[in-house]
Amino acid sequence: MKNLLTRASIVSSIALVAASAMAQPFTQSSIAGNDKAWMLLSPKFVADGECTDLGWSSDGRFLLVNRSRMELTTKYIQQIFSKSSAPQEPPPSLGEIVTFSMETGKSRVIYKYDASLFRAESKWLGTGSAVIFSLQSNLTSLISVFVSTADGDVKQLNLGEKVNLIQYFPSPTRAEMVIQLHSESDGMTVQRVNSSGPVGRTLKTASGSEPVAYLKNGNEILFAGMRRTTGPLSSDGKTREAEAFFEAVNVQTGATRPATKSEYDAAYDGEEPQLALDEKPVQVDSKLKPLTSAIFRSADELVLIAADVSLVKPNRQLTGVAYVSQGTIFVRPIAEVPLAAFLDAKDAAERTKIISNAKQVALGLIIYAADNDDNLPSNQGKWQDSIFPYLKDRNTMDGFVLAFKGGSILKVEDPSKTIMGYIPGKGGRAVAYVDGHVRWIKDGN
Amino acid sequence: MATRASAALLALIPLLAFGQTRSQNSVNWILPVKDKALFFMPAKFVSEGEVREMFWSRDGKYLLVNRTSQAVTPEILEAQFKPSASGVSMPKLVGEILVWNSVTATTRSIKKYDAETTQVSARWLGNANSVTFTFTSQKARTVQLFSSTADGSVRELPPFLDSIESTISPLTNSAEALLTLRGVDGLETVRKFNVSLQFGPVLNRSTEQFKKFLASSNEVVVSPLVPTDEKGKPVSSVPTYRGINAATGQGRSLTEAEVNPPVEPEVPLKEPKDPTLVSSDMSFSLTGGATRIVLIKAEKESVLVSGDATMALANDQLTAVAFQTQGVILVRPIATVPLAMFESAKVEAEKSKLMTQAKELVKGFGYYAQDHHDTLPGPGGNWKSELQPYMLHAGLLEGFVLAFEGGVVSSVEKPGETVLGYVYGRNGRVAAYLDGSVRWIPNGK
Repeated sequence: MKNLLTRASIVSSIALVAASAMAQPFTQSSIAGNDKAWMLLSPKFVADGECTDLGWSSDGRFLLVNRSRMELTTKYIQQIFSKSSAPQEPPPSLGEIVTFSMETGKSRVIYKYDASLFRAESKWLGTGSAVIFSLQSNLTSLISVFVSTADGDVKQLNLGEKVNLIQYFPSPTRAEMVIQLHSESDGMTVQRVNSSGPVGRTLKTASGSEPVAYLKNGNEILFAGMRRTTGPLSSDGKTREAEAFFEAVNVQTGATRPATKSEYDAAYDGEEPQLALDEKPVQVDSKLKPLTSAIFRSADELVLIAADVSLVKPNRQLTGVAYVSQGTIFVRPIAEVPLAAFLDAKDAAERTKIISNAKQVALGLIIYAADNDDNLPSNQGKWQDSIFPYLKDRNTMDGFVLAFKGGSILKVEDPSKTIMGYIPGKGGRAVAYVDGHVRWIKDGN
Repeated sequence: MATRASAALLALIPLLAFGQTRSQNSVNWILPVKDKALFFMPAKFVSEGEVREMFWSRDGKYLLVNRTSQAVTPEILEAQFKPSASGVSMPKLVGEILVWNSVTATTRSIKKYDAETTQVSARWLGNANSVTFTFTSQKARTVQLFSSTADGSVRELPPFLDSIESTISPLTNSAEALLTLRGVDGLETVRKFNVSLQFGPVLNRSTEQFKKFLASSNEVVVSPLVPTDEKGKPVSSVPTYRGINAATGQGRSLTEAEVNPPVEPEVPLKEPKDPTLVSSDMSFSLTGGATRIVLIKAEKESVLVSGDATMALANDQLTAVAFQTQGVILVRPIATVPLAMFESAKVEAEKSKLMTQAKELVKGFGYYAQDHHDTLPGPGGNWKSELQPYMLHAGLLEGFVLAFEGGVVSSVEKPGETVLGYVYGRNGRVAAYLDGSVRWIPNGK
């Protein structure tokens, strides 16, 4: 009997692992929408460090991360607080521009910089796989601009002498962008840029207005300015009210036309996301600051992305969600499946899990009996406390109803037909017998 | 105690006040415990995957991880739900034994295995930084024993045939472990072995079951299967134990109290050895499934190790805590510094920072007075926005309270005793006087 039991427990633990690996995506990290369902996979590690901006490429296949971290080591901390060898230099602070590929699950460092000397900003260069990034010196406030291809080939762009202000407008339709920059040599200019550098003439309006948005058609940049109204004088009778005005500039030809406020609003209207993203504060301990949990929400369901985030950003295609948790940057890939097939599979997985749990509890009970002169605990008392040491996880016992009254299992006439207990589930229950085998019995049988 | 406020310490100031300055970031990383301050460093990445087993080496420098992972991609998951899902199978569950080195912060793969057919158990080999593990194949009825140094050179023995179960019990006082091997014949063999996979003499070979190793008396404890009468009924309900001296092979009978001295019930998280520290887990639920947070609690304060962890394990030295969060294994190193040193350094660093701030403020007020016929504004009114342009940088006025009532500066009789205002910090304030001098006033004075 002993040998059989031991063997059975090994087999079942292997089965359990296989089953839980299958069941996990359904039971823990899935959400059903109206006609589709999404499954969040286990997170992939992207990089460590602090990160204030996560950028998805327009096709959702790559993530752009600008991370930095003060390279603190336990040794360094101990030195700082020791009398003799306190270092006078601050710890090095390493910044990196990193891209993460959803296909390979791997990160690539494009550029490294000293984050104590420079502030970096990085963007996708429009719709392409090239990246534009700038480094601004903390001392001089001057900015250098670089472009990197997807392969990590970095080159510096020559955008004039002593650039000290820059603003990016990525093209929604092409692998290029429009940048507004201020340099000592040229003053304020607006320039189209692609991966090989500036393209065409600078963009200007006669009125001196400045760029504010890329229009969604990808052909025009919207400029805005302020001007005095031509209407009646204001209440004090001396001045006229000022109002905003808009102009659209064709990025190819430079041609200017008057535009409207509604065009501006439309440029920033997002698509309705398929799943809403919530960031909820959760107070877990009165002495700690609340954590922020990131959640996807559909009409009926919620799914937790991560429980403790400082930043979270799904891509538009909903094939991945990136987040920063405690100084580590992760991506959870997302699978999208038809709703009906998903619901069927979810029921099946739930059943597999219940059967597996029932098997575990049954074996726990049998091994308990083996250690206790073949006696099972009484189902009147707290039998869970007796069985707990024989199980990997207390939750395995969730829902298990111990039907066997207790006492010796050797006295049972036919162990394969005597019910030890069961876990009720949807449409049936997983019944465990005294010999340890488990069967799924449909409701009504 | 006078502590130099080094540049290094000043650079740490924003980190020391991390919780206060970044509302989004819940990294709370300093825990005062008795006469020490523990610094919880940012998390280091160890590995992806689900932890099966995780142990710190005796010296606390290495982490042994036995993990499984399944290379599920969204494409594979999505294919499971297509009606024509032929030929697309779920990827294999792959197991891997890893050792993470806390000094280099690198992970080394020791051995990969097929987790669907092989049951693997890994342990530290006694008190040394060597690893041992067994592969148990249920189908082939074999157990194979391996050892590896921490740098990954693996030794193996030919598989033990006709064996169905094995356990490894590391010894606490030598670089050895006990291997317990149960054969299909029901006999159990207990032997000591070392990293070269050399075995000591057979300590026991019988139907008795291995229970534990008693380090205090260097004895292997075995327990016979409960004796039964001719009908197979147990004749006694009291378990009996036999102790076999691991050095001499001498046997003697042991009492229950000698074998199982009363112990605290096992808790899911291992408690650090320092009696004033309690690691505890709490959980909260947003989506139905509970999320567990891991804290390390001291008398007055707690530090959040992770807001979402399935398991956590601190080493005995309390120099690091390992945890699993959402399928990723991370370690937070812990630096320990004397509390007094930390407190005074903190005050000193803040004082130094506030004094500099106050001096720069006074300069700004001076420039303002020059431009305004020697006159300063008083509190009330819009003094802040009036003075802003004269300040070296925008944040300078933060925490500054204007005390001077306003008026002509040159008519003040004792400018060295007339307070312009105060810059408030956590541990005190700096008084800035009209003559440009500044003075530190600790809290409570």
